[in-house]
Amino acid sequence: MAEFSNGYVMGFATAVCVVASLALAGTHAVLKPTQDLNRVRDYQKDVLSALGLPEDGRRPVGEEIDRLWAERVGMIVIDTQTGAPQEGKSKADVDAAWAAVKNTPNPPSLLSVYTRKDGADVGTYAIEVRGRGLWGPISGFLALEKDAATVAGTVFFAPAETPGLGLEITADWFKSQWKGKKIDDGGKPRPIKVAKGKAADECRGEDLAFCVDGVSGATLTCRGVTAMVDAGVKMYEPFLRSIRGGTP
Amino acid sequence: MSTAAAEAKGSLQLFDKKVRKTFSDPLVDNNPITVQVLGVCSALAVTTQVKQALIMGIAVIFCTSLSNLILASIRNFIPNSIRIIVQLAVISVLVIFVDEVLAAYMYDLEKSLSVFIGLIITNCILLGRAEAYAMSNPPWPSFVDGLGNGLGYAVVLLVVGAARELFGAGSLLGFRLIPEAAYAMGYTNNGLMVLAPGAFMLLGLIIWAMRSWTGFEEH
Repeated sequence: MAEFSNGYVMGFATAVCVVASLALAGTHAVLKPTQDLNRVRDYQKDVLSALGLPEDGRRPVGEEIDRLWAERVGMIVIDTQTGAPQEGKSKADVDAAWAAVKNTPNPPSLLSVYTRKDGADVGTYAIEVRGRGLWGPISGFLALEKDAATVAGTVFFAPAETPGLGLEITADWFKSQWKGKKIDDGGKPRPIKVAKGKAADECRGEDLAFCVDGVSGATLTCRGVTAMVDAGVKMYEPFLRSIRGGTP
Repeated sequence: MSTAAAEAKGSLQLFDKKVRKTFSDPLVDNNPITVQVLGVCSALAVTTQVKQALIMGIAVIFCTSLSNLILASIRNFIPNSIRIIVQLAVISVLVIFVDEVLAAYMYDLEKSLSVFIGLIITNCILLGRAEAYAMSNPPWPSFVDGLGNGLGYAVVLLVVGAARELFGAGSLLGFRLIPEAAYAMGYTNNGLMVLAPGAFMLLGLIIWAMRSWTGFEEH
């Protein structure tokens, strides 16, 4: 290998940097719109599935997601303390409220509720829950039937959890078992527990309505889910009580 | 000399015995994982499911073959004093490119694989082949060497992934293979298989099997 002058080495290094940056910047610029669309649709698809859309349980793709989202999903912003709907507030206000209580145990002052529109009726309410897994933040939606006590569907997001272990909380088998579980025990909020192993081994009889199977090998992530759902249900309790009382 | 004969000679050079050996050697006799023991970290991390192992394998094949090709093409212009950093730059560009493409067209997989795709940059196979082969060989054999090593890596990943998904989750590529009836009769998934220690043991067994088959001995 020939010896090169310092000037050549500097020039070569600069050329490599410039070519590499241009290649990556170009790739990113071309692909970014597709990636952003994927991100938004992925989120919407998960919320749709928690709400039970589409009704036949298929996985919607592409523009079908946009259409379902526009036609069948509504969002209301509620005041956390009173549970009363707030007019004129948007998702940005809710995100700001969450950001304001970041790293504190306090609930945000505003909360969002996604609703499934069945014609003029509301078929399902999806409440948003946020918490911590083993490696990072986890979040999700708990969709509730009209009685505001029975779980209609769930979705979880766990970007930092280990694939095959903690990330399994985002898998279909884990999500689907929440359907039909209860968050209300005779008028009192009661959290759903993620068991260490099979729910049937830990909970008996009536208790099974408040218990789901855990992910083996991901006990800490599952504890995070239990805590997150517990905190979420308590935060939304004023709102949920107002639905049960008949005055949403 | 007729054009046909010249073409025949050209293709003979493209796929002559030496090049074929460059390709087949890393599949078994000099497998990057079982013989060179490179890239073991990712082999343990992404093999809980076959689908992940498959995409990871394809990504590594793409990156090692192209990084070898690019580096071999410019090998005579790379100053010796900064060659490692140039190799890393080329490898990083390819890996980030793969990650970007996955995020655009295979979003669901990218979500679960992203961190491991990024770690291909530090995968010893890529830097190892670049330094040991591409820097001193012409572009075409280097490309083939990259293909072979990537494939050798992918094959071991698939074997480990298949075993772990089958015994750890009872399925392959997401399709349930072990029937519900077996679970009802008391069969349970082997939790050890989805954890890293399970992968270690499997990999150890595979290395043992491959080495006794090929008669490889450590010197």
